[in-house]
Amino acid sequence: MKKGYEEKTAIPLDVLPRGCRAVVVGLDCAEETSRDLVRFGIVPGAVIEPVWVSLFGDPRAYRVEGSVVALRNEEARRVLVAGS
Amino acid sequence: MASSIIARRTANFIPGELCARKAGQPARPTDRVLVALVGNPNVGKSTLFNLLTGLRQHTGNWPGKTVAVAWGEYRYRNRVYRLIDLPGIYSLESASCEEEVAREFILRCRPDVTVVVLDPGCLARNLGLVLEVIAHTPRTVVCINFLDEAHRKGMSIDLEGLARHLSVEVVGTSAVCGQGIDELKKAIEKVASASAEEPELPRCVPGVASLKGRKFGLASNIPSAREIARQVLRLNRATGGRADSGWLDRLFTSRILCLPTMGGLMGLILWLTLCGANCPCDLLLGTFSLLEPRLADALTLLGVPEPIVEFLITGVYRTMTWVLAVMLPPVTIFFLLWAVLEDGGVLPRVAFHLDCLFRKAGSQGKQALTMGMGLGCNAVGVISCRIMNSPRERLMSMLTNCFIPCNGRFPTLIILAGMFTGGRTVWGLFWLLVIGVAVALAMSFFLSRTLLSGPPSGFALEVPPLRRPYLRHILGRTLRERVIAVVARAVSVAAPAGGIVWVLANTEWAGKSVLLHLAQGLNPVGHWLGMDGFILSAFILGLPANEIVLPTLLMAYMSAGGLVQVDSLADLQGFLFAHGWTPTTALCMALFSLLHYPCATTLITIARESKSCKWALVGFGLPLGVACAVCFLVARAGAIR
Repeated sequence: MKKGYEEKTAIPLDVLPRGCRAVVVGLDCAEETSRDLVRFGIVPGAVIEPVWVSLFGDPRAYRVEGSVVALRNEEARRVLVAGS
Repeated sequence: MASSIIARRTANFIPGELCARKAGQPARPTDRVLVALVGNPNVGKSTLFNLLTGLRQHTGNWPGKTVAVAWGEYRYRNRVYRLIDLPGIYSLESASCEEEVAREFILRCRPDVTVVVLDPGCLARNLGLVLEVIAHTPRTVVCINFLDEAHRKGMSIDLEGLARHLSVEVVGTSAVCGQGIDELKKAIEKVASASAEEPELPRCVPGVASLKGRKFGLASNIPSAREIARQVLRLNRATGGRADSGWLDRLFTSRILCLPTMGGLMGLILWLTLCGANCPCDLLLGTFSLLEPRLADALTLLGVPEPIVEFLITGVYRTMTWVLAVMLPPVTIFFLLWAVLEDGGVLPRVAFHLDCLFRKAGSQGKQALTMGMGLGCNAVGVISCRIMNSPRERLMSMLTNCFIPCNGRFPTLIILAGMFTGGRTVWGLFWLLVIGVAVALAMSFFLSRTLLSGPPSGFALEVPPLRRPYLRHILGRTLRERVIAVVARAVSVAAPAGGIVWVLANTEWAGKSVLLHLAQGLNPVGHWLGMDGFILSAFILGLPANEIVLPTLLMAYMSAGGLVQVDSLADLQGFLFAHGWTPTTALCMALFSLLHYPCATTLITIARESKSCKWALVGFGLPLGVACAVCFLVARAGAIR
C-alpha cells in the first residue's frame, strides 16, 4: 500500500514527493488555467499522486481520477494539496 | 446488409453541411438520424466509429487524434444513421480549437442522438462530461468502452445502476474485440425513435436537486460524478482497479532509461526498415526494368508512333515504376512499425520527456505529437497542429513541421544516406532524423523570438496507458493508408510529372533541351550549395510532390548523357556517382531534401489552416533559407577537407 502524505498543512503539488498520495485542497490560479486543470479532474477533493518524472525533471506526471496527467511544475505549483 | 457504407468525408466544421435539417427539429422517420460521438480524448471513439460504419478513420493512442470532423453512415433496420466522430473533449466549456468544434456541434447542431463514450478507467472524470451533456440534451446514450480492459484490471461496472442514476440508455462495449456494437445500435435506435418531445430530465443525480435550466460547469459536476462512480464501480481484486504499469511502461517513463529506450527503438525501426526493404526494392526495380522493353515492343506492335512510345515508356512508365519500386517497400515496413508505436501510446510519453526542450524553444511538448504525424505526411502534420493551445504555438508547429521528413522524402533519404555514409545507412538516416528534429527546435526558438513572440502557454497532457496494439488494425491501416496512398500518388502525381519532365528533357531549344538549359542555368547556384544544377532543377520540378524529385533527377541526367539500365539500388547509387557525385554531394542533397520547402499540398494546407497566404510564404521561405544556409556551410566544409 502506498503511503499517504501525512501533513495536514497545504503544500504546492510540485513539491509533493513521488509516490506520495495527497488530496487536492485548492487551486490558486486564474480561471483560464484552472479550467485546464479541471478538465483533467484536478478539483478540490481529488486524490493525486506524482508517478513519473520526465527526462529533465520538469514536467511530472500525476495519477488523478484513474488517468495519468503530465503537468509542468509551473502549473503544479498552483495546485495545493494536503494529507487526507 | 447490416451496415452499408454510403459516404465518408473528413471535413472542416461546416454545420450546414452535416445537418441538412434545420437545427433543433426532430428527425422524421425518412430522414437520416444524426448521431454524434463525444467523449474524453482516448476513450476509443474513432474505433467505435469504424466498427459502426465499417469505415476506416485513423485512430491512435493519444489525445487530440481526431482533429477534423469525420462522418460516415450506416443502415440499421431500414433507417440511415449519419454518425459524426467529434474530437475528444473534456468539458463543454472548452478552450482549444479542436474542442471548440465538438462543443459547437453539440450545442448548435443538436444531434438527434448523442453517444457519450466513457473509459471505465477514469469513470468519475468521464461522468462529469456525461452530466454536462445530459443537461443539454437528454437524448443521450452512454457507452462504456474498454470493458475487457476493465475486467482485466478487476473492475466491474453496474450498467443498470448507472442507467438508473442517469435516466439514459447505458451500453457496455469493447471496441477492440467488437463486443456490444449491436446493443449500441439498438440503444441508438431506441433513443432516435423515442417521441420527439423533450423527455424528462434525470432526477436522481445525487447532490443535485434539479438539472433543468441550470448551466453547468465541469467543476460543479465532478462531486456528483464521483458519487455516481463510487456507487456503480465494483473493484473485485486486490489491485484496486489500478493498472499495473508493467516493465515496458517503467522503461519509457524512467528518467535514466527513457532516452536510450526511445533512441534504440527508433534505431531498431530504421534498421528493420532498411533490412527488410532492400531486397523487395531490388526485386521490384528488376522486374519493372525487365518489363520495360516488352511493354515498348507491345506498344509498337499496336501501331503507336515511335515518339509516343518513347514518351510513355521512358517518361510516364519509368517515373511511375521508380516511385513505386523505391517507395513502396520502405514506406510499408516503416509505417507498419510506426503504427505499433502510435497505437501503443508511446508518442505521448515522448512528448512528456521532451517538453523541457520544446519549452526552451518557446513551444511545448505537444509539438512532438504533431511532428509524429508529420512523419507520415506533412500536410496531415500541419492539420494536427490544431491540438496546440495557443495560436502562436500552433503556427510555430505548422511552420516547423516540414523539417520532419514525410514519407515522400523518406526513400530518397535512404538512398542518399547509403551514399554519404558509405553503406552505414541506418546511422545516416538516424542522424538525419535527429538533425530534422534539432532544426525544428532551433527554428521554433528563432520564430518564438522574432515573428511569433508572445507569452508561453502551459503544458498539460493526458498520458494514456500503454495499450497492446491490435495486429489486425495495424495491418489494415498500413495497407489502406500507406500502400494504397503510395500507389495512388505514383499513378496520380508521378506518372503525369514523369510525362512533363520527359517533354522538358526532349524539347530542343537553341540546340539543347529545355531541362538542360534550366540545369545549366542553375549550375553555379547548385555548386555553391554543394550540389549541381540538375539536382536543383529536380527540387524545383518536385514542388508538387517530393516523391518525384529522385526520378526527375535520374531522367535529367539520362537526357544529358545516355540511357542506363537501373536494376537495383546499388545500380542507382553507382549511376549517381558516375555523374560526378561525391559523398558530400549526397550529404548536401540529403540535407536539402530534409530541410527544404514542403510540397505544394502542405503549403496550401498551411495557408488554409492559418487563413493567410503570408504564413504559407513564410512556410516556403524559412525552410528554403535554412536548407540553403546549411548546404552552403556543409559544401564549404567538404571543399576544405
